[in-house]
Amino acid sequence: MSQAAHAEAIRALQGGDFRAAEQHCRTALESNPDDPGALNTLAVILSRTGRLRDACLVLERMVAADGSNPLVKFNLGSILQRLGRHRHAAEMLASALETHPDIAEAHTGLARSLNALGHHAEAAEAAERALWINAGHAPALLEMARAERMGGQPASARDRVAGAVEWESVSARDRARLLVELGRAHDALGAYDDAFDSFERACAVRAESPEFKRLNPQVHQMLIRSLGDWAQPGCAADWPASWAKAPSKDDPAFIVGFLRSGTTLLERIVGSHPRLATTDEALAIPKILGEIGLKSLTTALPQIHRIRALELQRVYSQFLRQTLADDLPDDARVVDKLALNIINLPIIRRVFAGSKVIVALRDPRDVVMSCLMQPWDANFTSVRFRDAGSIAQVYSEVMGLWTRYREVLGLDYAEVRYEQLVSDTEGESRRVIGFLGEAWDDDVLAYRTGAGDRMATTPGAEAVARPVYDSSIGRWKRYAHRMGPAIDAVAPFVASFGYETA
Amino acid sequence: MVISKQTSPYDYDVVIIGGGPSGTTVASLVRKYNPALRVLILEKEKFPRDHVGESQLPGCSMVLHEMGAWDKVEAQNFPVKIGASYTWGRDNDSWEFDFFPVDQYEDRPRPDKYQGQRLSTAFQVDRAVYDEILLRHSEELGAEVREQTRVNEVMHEDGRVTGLKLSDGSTVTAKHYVDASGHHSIIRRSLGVPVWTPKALQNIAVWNYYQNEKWGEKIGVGATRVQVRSIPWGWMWFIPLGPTRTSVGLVTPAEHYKSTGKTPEQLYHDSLPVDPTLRELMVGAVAEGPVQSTKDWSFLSDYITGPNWFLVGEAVGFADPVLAAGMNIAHNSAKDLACTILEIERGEVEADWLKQRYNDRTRLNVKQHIQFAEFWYAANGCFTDLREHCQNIAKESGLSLSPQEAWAWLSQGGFVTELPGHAELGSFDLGLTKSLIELFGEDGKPLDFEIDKNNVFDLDLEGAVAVRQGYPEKGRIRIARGFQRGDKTLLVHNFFLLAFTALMQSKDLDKIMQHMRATLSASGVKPDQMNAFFHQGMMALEAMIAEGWVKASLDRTKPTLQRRSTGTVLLSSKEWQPHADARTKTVAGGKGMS
Repeated sequence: MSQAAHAEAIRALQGGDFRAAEQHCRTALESNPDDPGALNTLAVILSRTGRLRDACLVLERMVAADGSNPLVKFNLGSILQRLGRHRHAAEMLASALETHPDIAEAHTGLARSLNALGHHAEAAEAAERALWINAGHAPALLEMARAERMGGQPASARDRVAGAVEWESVSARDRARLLVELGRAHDALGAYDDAFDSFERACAVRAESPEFKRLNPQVHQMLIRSLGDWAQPGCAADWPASWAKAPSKDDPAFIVGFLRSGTTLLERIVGSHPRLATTDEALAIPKILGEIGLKSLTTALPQIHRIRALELQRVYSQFLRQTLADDLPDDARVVDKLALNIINLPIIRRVFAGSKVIVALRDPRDVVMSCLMQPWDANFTSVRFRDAGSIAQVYSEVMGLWTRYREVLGLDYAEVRYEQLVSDTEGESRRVIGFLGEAWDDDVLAYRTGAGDRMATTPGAEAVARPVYDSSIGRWKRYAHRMGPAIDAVAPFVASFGYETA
Repeated sequence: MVISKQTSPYDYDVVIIGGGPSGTTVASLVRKYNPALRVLILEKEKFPRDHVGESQLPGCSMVLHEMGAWDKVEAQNFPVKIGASYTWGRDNDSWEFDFFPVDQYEDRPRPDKYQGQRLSTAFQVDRAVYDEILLRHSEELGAEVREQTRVNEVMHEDGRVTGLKLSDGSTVTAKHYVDASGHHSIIRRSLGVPVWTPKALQNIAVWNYYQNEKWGEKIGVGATRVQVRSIPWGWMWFIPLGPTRTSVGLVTPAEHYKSTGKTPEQLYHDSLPVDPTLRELMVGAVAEGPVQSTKDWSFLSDYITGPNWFLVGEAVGFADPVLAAGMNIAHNSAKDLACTILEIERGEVEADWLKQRYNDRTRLNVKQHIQFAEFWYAANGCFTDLREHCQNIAKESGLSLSPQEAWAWLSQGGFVTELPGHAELGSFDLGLTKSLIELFGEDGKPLDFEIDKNNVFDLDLEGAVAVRQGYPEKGRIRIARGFQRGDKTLLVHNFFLLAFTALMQSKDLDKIMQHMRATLSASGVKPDQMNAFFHQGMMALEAMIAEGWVKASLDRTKPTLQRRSTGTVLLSSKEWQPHADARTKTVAGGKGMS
């Protein structure tokens, strides 16, 4: 019975029917709750459907019950890594490798976590071991190059990756990642033209990957256009400032901004306050969007009244409780960070009337350059990043919305500049905490100590785990001669946000 | 073929003259693998008795383990040898060679097991104790031992030994006679086998044993190195034999000894304070007895097998104590002989071919060590020349090595333990040897590996002819088949077979690696051993390229190896540890971590 149900679960999983797979798996576990095969499959289903914490709990229980299966440890290590818990991930992967040192992916995973933790020499060794098992394992080579670059050997990283980007056996996704790494190595060596070429080539290669081809770039564009059309003066004039009798200090707050604008740093700082709990990119607002229906969003918004708003708030809270589990203490106030919620501010304003919004700003030219330098996974925004010019175009559309929103939505917002946060971390942090209505706490300035152990899943996490640095400020100037059209496209925002135009 | 006492015309199947390490190794392994064979050991002394020659190489440990005696030796708590420290020549430069990286050696409780780090270590033994352990061990395995029994006469006819007249008046006959009687070699002398004596090695050795309580703190029984210190008229050895006991010896040219007009004892005591390191170590040391001496030890028998007899150990020949290789040659040539006798008894392979193989291989081992020692003395510290000379010796063994590689190979024992199928040089495999050279290299530059620079590997057997070669393994002389072209031989066996098979499947590096791993996995290699085996396969590939059996080239569209060093890191079984203070010891090869 149990075995048959488990077999069904695997078939459903292979067919991509996660719901059926989970049902069969749970049936299998009803008759044999300790069946390691079914538990592992359940963990895989949970992780594939974004419930990483649940998957993590299942696997942790399995390891506690029987620590001899290296594949369970490997799976757990991988999920911990995706949750940004790099120290635990490294421990788990190292433990799996003790008895099974021939798993290249485990060595690579270990290298990735060690790089995230700043142990670059050890990361390089772990990657080396992976490549000794599988010479063509591009992710391992990538980690080795990252370890070398971040460990102060950019020339070695460059040479290594320059060879690997030409390998025929490398997938488009991996080739794009290698090209980004190549660009970063060139950047570290001061070869900016070569770096820029590598970054743009990465964009082109990425666009040809199956993951990116699956997504329609027009979806994002059309959504922004419809929201832009809707966000006219007076569109929210009659919206109440709060659904409650008085705004509560326990209403969630939101951190938004364009990608690569410092939202991760802000999240880390805010999350270090004992009264505030951040959400690590949890897709809670998109969940509400799903409830409302994306197509009819602009017409549905005015129709959300108190009862519906409170219902959606409940859906939101329930989702967060499910996905964040133990990371969401009962007495903490939620600060929801999802950068591109910036386009969803009308929903936030309507459902969480009176909520506070922190908007991360950064010199638009640095934002464009930083986006160009990222090894993006496929999403509806990144699928539009074809080169510096197209990134600048997306930036203009999104931040154009913001400039409209801040005029018409009646938001309680504060803009925080990345540059200011870096140059005066304490002063700016005090301003942010004050804006959220909380008393200052010195724990906030110890925000870096949390890095590595929890919540570091975005591209910005790596930088945040290191001391605040200003080397990324004004980086665009080194590339200005290659960024012509992009600079022109974001010029209005440079002026609007008060950055130097020269 | 099992011979029963009733049908055999001989008193014994094997009679061994001499109960030292080579004799007991032959006896133990013959009995271990064929308990039906009747083995007699004739020993003129009553054990225990003192004997010079205390320092071993890791190759000895392998044989001890095979004999089943390693645990017994370990139980004596002899100091563990992990390397040697040399000063030599005009500049008195210090060179250290470790079998195992000293900073990684864990001082584990003893007695330990023959596993992990201990596979790469040797012992420094008190021969009185050690030789007796092995003699009793042979007895336990069923060999008959007659102590205080001297061979008074070797009876022979047309080069064949017909019997041995013993000091008790009896006569014994055997199917195989083994002369393990050491330097004086009773069969060799009785049959008038000529010997070659190298002119450059006319030396005299003088030594004594010392006790010193303070060595207990400094030296102990954990990881120790033998000290070899150059002095103006020769060199000194300092070999820890226990926590408070050492052997301290002088080696000096016989001519110098004569020219001084001093007694060996006077010369010895004049030499003790010359080297500052030794001088310091000897403060407070008390001699156990009078000094002992020996001379004219370097020689090589012209041939070492006859119709029914074999020479083994020091009866074959001896190079020089400077390499600490005597015991290694003794144990390993004895293992080879045991396997040869066992194979002859099986009758599946021609006996003449087996004897010739044993003769050629064992003589070559000793000859190469003599050449090396000759040059060692002649060069007297001209290190570069010495290494070039080593290269020529290695070439004679069919190995194309750089001067540095050849030096490391010889310094660690060379010759005696390499097996067909292992890309192994003496006690070290190719990768470890190269990494050692990197660590000690003059310019610190990594050495080139062809497998790192190329990714297309094309097997090239054009013009090669099929050959066979024997090697000792588990009581047999196994036959490895392979190819010969000019002075190069490729034995398609063991790890070379692994590489060869993979090369037949694909020319691409990543595919070759996958094939090797799949083959190993299908052969039942456990995951935790996989990397060590795979490493050997890759080293075999490297050796095949070096020897011209594989043409290597680079295709830039295919993956290449991305090793950052040729070091031992890839063999390290340790992984990243979560505790920061534990991480400093995770890299082999003596390199630190951040």
